[in-house]
Amino acid sequence: MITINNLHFMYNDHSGIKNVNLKIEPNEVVSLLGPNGSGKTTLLKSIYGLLNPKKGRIYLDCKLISTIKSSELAKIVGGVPQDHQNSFPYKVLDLVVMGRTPYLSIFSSPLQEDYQKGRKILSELGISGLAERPYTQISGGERQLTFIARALMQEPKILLLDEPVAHLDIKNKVKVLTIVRDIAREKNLTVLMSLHDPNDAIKFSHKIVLIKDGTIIDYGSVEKIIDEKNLKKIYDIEFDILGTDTEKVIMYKISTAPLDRNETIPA
Amino acid sequence: MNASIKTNSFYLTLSPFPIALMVLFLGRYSLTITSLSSEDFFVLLNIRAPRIILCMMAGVALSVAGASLQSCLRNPLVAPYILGQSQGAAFGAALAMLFLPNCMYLIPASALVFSFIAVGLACSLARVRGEFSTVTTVLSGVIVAGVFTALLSIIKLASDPYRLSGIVFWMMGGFHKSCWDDILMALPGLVIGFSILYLMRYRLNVLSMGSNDAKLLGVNINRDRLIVIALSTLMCSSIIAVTGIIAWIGLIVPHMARSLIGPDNKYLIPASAGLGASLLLITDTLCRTLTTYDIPVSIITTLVAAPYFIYLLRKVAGGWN
Repeated sequence: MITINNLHFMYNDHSGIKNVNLKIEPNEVVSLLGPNGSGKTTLLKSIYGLLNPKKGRIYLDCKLISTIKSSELAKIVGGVPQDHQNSFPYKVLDLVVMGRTPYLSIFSSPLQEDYQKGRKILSELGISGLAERPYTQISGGERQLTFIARALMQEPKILLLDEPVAHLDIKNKVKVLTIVRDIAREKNLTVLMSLHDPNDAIKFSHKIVLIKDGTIIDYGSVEKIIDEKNLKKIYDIEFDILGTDTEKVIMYKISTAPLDRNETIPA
Repeated sequence: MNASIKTNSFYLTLSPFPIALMVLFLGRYSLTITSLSSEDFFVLLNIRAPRIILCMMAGVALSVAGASLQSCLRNPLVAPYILGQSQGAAFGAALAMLFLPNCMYLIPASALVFSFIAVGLACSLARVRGEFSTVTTVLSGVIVAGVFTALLSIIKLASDPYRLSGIVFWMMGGFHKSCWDDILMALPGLVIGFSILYLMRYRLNVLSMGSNDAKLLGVNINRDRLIVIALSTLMCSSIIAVTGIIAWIGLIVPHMARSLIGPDNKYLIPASAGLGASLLLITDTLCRTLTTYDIPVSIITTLVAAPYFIYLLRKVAGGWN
């Protein structure tokens, strides 16, 4: 579904991605793990078509991305941006319906059936109650689901999520990731998402990409990728891996002594 | 909720018409609707009517240009003059006044042309690495406006006191000289700009989500932004070319309209048009009736709008909710 050959995009000498090769099969949920600044967002933005890579090629569905018209690309790839800043206070339903934009000409507006479709997707994601609320006043978890709903309105084959659970509490994190997993299965979507917690990647994806300093360190099934050596390689700290082979749990270790709770706090 | 937005926007859109009928009979030359002499008709037809119509057109043009640019650049502080439109126009008008003061049609023509030159310059400066971002656009506008202000100063220096006062008066903007010719000159730009921008109302909503979001939704953002900028410049510059610079209306009215009917451009554009026309009509009526002297309209619009804007800034300091 997504084939990346020798992709290269550097903002300057230090940050960006280099020599990235990746092949993602249809209907897979793939997680992207790597430290801050490792190139996760750059990689996702290249697949969105937001960046023009200097070298290398990206194929979506066997079509070279640079030859796809932007409105056509938006029918193949839908996504949730990491850095959306509040705009004017549109209602959640209106925001979701904006997902139909790739199907509209510059002079046309969405029809009644588009709004019905929007309501249907909101209820599929369990957030019908938000429809009339301003999207600038909803919680972080609701917001992620709203943007996922908008991406689904594009009827994409590929869903790209840039840190979809970065600011969420555990309950909302589980909710969003569960929905992503279920939606991917129901709608036959290929999902590529960047995550911070390897435990989330283990629970919610088929495969994992490890990325550091703009290069892919390893890529493969969860069982194959997750081990102490690989994790240490990308995060530079020690980990303990607990649980069974099919249900791994990852704990990080700290090199300094743990906090002494009996110590008196200086006034 | 939706129904009240619809009715509010309907009333706002139609509000200028009853106001126009009322102020048609207000003024220093007193008119009564029941007994109209032929002189009364002359005043009505050749002085009051063109002034009121041009005033409504200016209200529509500036407010809709402001609303569209605010959506397009997703910045609520953007005014129709953000890309140097007014400074370009002022320079163009002054240039024509200096060299060919007797050619009536040349002043608006030159104002319009230089307004477009200023915007063109700002747009080409704003494009950094193929990107056309809000920040670079606004900064380029500041630079171009500065350059044209300096150029205007050169012309002012070179002008004799009589022409200098003409330039200064033009820059204050007003409807005291309105005539049917002015209307005919400004109308094509207004009609073209308004109708295409209204057709683009949904695209404006998408553009207002920001460039990354718009691109994700498959919008060719550079092309669409240029179209919106060109159309709003056409609208507001065709008007200020004949009236002189009218301040603040284009910044304030979209905000008032947005607070009444929400951010959806489907309602925001017609409501801004109606509200802008009404406000400018009322202001202009005050200008010509308050004192024996015809006060330039920008003075009143600024004095009224500035406090409102301060209030707005304080109210929304935490975000545009």
